[in-house]
Amino acid sequence: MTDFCTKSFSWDPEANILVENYYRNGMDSEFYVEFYHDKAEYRYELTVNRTHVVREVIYRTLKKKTRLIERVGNEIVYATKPLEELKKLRLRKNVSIISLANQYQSPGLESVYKFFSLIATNVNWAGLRDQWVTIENAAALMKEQPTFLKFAADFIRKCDIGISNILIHEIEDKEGDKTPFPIFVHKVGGKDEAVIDEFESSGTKALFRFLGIYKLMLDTGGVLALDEFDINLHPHILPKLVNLFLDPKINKNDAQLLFTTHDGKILDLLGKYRTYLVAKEDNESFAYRLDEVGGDIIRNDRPLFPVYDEGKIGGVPRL
Amino acid sequence: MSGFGSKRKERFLGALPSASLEGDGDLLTEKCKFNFAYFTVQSAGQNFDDWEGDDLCKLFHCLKEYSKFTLDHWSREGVLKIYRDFPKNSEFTHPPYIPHEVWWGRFRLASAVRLAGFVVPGAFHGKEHPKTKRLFDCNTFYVTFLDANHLFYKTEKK
Repeated sequence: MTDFCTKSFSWDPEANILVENYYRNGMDSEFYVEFYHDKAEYRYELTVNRTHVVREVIYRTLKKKTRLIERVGNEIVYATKPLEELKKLRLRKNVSIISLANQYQSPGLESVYKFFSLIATNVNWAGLRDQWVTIENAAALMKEQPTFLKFAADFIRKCDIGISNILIHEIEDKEGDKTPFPIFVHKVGGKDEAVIDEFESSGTKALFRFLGIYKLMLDTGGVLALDEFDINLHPHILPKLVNLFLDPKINKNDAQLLFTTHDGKILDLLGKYRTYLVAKEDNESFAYRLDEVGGDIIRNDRPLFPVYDEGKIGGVPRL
Repeated sequence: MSGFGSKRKERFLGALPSASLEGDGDLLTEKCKFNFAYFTVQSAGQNFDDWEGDDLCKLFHCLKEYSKFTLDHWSREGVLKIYRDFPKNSEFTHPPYIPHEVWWGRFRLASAVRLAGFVVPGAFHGKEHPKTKRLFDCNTFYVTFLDANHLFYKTEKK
């Protein structure tokens, strides 16, 4: 959705929209996103299929909820005064009005565009992108941004995995192009030992690959959405990563971390208002926030993990 | 929001248990219990086989209803009468294996039909049995006799 809202104007006019619905049943897919940005609450609704946009609506709530703009098919059927300019533009069937407004610098939807453009995620329309950030990408980012390297090295040092420092070196090919790569420094018997990434542990490499993006999101106040954010990481490190976003001294710009994990122990750090479980019945998945679970099976004065682990609130396989 | 709901999710959440032992949604500890371990048959009383199917059904419906609240509640309602001592004017006799300290009483089921039995006196509340190390329970009625003819406490008006 991020790509659709921010980049669809640059797509080929006949390109398919990158949306896969439930076993390609031919029906439209419906999405909504609610978010706060620039001191206002927004709600974006999108109905879409592989070939065209069926409907887009954007609401904003300052004191009361207002519909800013509504598009049905290729027609804007409603727009508030500041957005009426958009009615003059020709809509394309595979282009979001948010991307369109940004392209023509049409005023009124800048906040919405900015919100979507500040989302970083390792998920695309087909699912998890395993090599979303490679070691080389991360090394290049850190070479360019020394503060990111310091952030990553400080974090990794505190994780007690034996690393005392990380250096970025460069290798030059025959054409003179330089490719940055990391050197992980281990203190062994008082002496520094250098290890290249091929020989480094998967956990250290996972942290190195992603910590630059964590820092980028913390600096920009964006949303970092990570599927399986704990791959290759020790469970005790997960709360430290989450705490980067919970600690207002570190997260000064209200950045947000959305993640999926199979490590239930993180439940008690997050609490019922910040946790969704995903359950599946007859191959149909559905999600529910834990404060939607009725009665008193979940209590504020009791840990969440035991009730989850015993399968009492769903979200565990029936083995 | 209605366009984005999930019926499957609503069904799933609706089917989850909503109560817990220590929550406000269920007051299990208030519900009295009926125990038949001390049940016996004397000539004035009846065995379960002696009661017609209908009467047995009524008995179980009554037990279900009575087990919703405390014994104190049913005392206040007059359904349970605690005499403390074994009634002197009774067609029944104190079975020798029943502890001497218990308080005798009866539950009224229908016009003349009674369940006679006993409770553990309040002084034993929270006390541990020296051998079993388990706590005495003063919210249990120990059914001893089926009394279809109101012969357990004969002076009581029929």
